[in-house]
Amino acid sequence: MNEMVDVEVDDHCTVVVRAATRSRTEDVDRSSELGQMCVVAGDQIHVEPGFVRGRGTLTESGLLIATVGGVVDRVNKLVSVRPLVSRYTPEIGDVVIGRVVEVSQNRWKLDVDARQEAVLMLSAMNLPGGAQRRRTYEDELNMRSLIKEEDLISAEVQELKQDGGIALHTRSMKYGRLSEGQLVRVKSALIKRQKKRFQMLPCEIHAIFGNNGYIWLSEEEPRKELEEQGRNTETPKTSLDGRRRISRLRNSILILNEMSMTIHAQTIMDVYITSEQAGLREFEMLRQNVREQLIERVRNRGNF
Amino acid sequence: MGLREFDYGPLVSVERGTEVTTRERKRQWNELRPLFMRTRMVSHAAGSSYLEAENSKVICSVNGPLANTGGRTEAIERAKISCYISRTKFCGLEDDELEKRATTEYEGIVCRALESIVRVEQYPKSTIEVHVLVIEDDGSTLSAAITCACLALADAKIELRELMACCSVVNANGQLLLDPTLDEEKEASGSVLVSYLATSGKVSTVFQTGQLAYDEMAQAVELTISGAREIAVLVRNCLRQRESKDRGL
Repeated sequence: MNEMVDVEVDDHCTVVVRAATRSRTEDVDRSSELGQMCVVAGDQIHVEPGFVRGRGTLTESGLLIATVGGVVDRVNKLVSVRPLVSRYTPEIGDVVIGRVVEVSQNRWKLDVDARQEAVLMLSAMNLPGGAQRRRTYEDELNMRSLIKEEDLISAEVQELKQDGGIALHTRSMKYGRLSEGQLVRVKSALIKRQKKRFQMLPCEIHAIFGNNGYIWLSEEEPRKELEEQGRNTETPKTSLDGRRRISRLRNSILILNEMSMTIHAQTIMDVYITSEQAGLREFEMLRQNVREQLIERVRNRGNF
Repeated sequence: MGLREFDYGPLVSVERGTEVTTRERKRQWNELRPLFMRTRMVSHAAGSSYLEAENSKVICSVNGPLANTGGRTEAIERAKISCYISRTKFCGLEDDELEKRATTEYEGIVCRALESIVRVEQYPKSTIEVHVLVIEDDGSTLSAAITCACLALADAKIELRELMACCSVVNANGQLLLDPTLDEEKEASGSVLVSYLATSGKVSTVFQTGQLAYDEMAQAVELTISGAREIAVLVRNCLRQRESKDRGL
């Protein structure tokens, strides 16, 4: 990467970008390296004529202006700004984990770290005793016995409304209420988009990677027959060893989150194994100096 | 995110009584006080910021966009910005002075100033809450609050048309003074506050109190704009710093 771009700020706070050639060995000024693609709100983005305006931008008298701070993404002619830290922007088919904040007439409202609360309709979930039966008034009365406030749910985004509303569904055996496990919240942008959201990690812990930045860790496989059994069934308790592994995973994920690194099974296990090899106990991992050494070692493994 | 990760930079703090900060000794009439700003100070807010100009210290946190609750159906297609200003007990104002400050009016001014930069049409059916806490008041806190709120909004990654900086001027004994301290504000016969949009160079808010002659007013607005321009550069740099921290550099 020899081509570098120099960024200067002139009096009117517009960014003047000019190309400069530097060799890699030179001590590259980090701020200008960053300026290559990083903008803050109100910055002008330099574009070729015929560009297409994407998310996080706005056109004013023919100029493209960033409206959020972040990295400029260019895909052919589409120019958009991707914030590094932001609320989750849902897409249809995403697997999300949400916490129930409200039970209303025939729907649950869930916090999924998006701009609006997500809605899970009573009709968008399989009920005990036959999947396709009519929802009765009785079902509405019994909603709290299925899912109540503060419960955690895994679900799929079914529809995005015109006004930004999010509709969820749990019409599959793999979705439903979560229990006996640990929730880890990270920046949603860091979660790698991949096909398999339900994974069994090599340390024999089940993980659900919600696209909204919520990760669920549990020793048992997330319950399959939730709707059939209702919430009264016994959940097997997590073993002490399982708790240790979950804690270590959680701390590994938090370290990745803090270092703004992509989060998926591979990277998590890299931190996990490195911390084990370093002989660290779970609770020691988040100490400031330990954390930095750990991340340095992980980086040296070369998978990043 | 814990606070300890920050190296608390050059906090400009002058202890009261130990050093005289009168304009005659330290500052020109058109000179700003040294400013310090930083984003992401409150761990539980979506975005937050801290701004300090010598003894004026303001912290601002933004919540949202949150889903609208309650039955009111007004303005469904755009976000509602609500602003709350509060002051600490030890902010430096006496109780009777506190009463004189029309907080509700100030909240309205901050709201209107912010509405000119936030792309409210992007957030239907939601509310953006802006909480300003004046930790210490040594003048120009309203303009500090507006600048601080803009920083916090940008930190919360709420879509903004552009960045804004705000600055105020008072007329004390026929002399215009930029970025007044509390004593200067008390002496003043009139004041002007201007919030300035950094990219387009437009003015979004003008708020005037007291008496000012016509040509004084024109001069004052010009002076505030020049001050706000300086602040705008600092605001932008502060956000860039945060950007680079987020990228782990």
